[in-house]
Amino acid sequence: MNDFCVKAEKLSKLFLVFKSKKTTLQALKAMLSREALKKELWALYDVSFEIKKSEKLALVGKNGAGKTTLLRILTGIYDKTSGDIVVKDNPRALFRFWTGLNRDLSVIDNIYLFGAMYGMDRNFLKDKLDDILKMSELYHLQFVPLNKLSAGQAQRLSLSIFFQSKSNFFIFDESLAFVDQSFAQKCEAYFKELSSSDKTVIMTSHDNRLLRKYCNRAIWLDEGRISMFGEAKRVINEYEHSFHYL
Amino acid sequence: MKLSVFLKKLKTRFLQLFTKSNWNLIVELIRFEFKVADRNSILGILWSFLGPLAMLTVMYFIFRTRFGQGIRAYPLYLLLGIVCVSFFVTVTTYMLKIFFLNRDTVLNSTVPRESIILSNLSIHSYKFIIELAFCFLLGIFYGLFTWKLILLLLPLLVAYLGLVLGTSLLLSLFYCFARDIEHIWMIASRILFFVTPIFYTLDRISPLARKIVYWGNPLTPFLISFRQVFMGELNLPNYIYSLFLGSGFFIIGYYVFIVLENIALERA
Repeated sequence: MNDFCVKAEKLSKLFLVFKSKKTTLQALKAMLSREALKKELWALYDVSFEIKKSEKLALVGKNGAGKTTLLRILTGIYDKTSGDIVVKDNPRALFRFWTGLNRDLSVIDNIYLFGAMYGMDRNFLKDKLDDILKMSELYHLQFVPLNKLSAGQAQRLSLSIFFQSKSNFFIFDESLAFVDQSFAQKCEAYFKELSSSDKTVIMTSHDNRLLRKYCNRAIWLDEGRISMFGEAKRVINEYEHSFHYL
Repeated sequence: MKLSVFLKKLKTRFLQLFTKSNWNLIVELIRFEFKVADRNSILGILWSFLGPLAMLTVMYFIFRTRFGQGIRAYPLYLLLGIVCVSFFVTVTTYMLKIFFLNRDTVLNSTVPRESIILSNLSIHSYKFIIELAFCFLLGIFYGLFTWKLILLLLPLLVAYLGLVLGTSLLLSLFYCFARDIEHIWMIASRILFFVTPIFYTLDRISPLARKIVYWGNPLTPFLISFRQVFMGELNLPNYIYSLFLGSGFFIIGYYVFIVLENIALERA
């Protein structure tokens, strides 16, 4: 039975990085002197994997290993350069917590705006308003513009809204970085529930403890290639050991 | 891009665009645009009247004796020119940077890019319609208003939005590759005020200039159609040509957008 959620075969992504030339004249001069103006950067190279439905997958790797690029291809934000990818479920992805929040709007308005970006309508959000405000601990600040809040409070707000969204496939890209301890506990409760559900989840995080706890499979990406793919604890352990050989 | 790939991409886009949750998102984005549009502004929406009114006053006093002779309801003629061209210039200049300014949203969320474009267009379209309503009142004042012709306004408005959107999409994509577009467009916008018959009629210029202004500037047929609709006389071939122009610009702009969007956004 083909019960996969994501299947990638020989997936590659090439970025052309252009050297910065301040003016067109400088660029022309560089072209005349046959100086290379662009450099090829393979963010992903020949990546093949399959994620089964209801699997919880950790994506590990150093900064610049290609994790976010892979997630952006999965969500259709980037086009692949070559290879094949099939994504069966529509993913609900949280990349950066501030994306979708507006500094000039109040906390309440941001709940409706941010919620709409993740498929929640006004009526649904009205019912969830109390839960969101309680979880984010922003009940007393609900009519305050977001620009009066700290970055941590804004993150609490966005995560509290996102946690209300419904989907069969969730993607979290470094979503829990910077959260304070008290809120981290609330997030863990959410992930605990998610990990025992039949939803498919892909997570990237530099908090390996979290990944070990809630993921059963893992992919270790290194310079755009898969270094290891398999059982989460084993892959994450190997990934951590690789630091010691540096 | 192969036609089959393009059509597949188009189908996916449409399926994503015409969903309940996306329409809900567009409504929320528009609501937010309206909420922040006139923030900290004392006169707010009144600026929609004051800007064109100031231009109208200055242009009327400068051009009425030289160009306004023989033109029926010259203030209305002038106002329609100012309103239509200002809308085109304002929107295209604003939308030029849309992907650059919304880079974070387009690269970090699955929000359809069309939804961002539509919400950004909404506030300008709203102001444009208010300005046109003012022209409509002026038409009644001059006794030029006819119901028959005003029915032709809706298709014309849709086509004009098509022209504005198509041009904006092309400019915003090119801006991702070369920032020079901003400077070029700034100069072109200034020139547009003179190569579009805002304060003069086509028969006042030389035959060669007339050809260039009519066939080389897509705003001219639209402006003529808008005036004919509001001022009670219609030249059907020009009206149909305007509808074709608007649809054509939109189709080309959207096609290029679908083909280039990801490459452009990676460079934004």
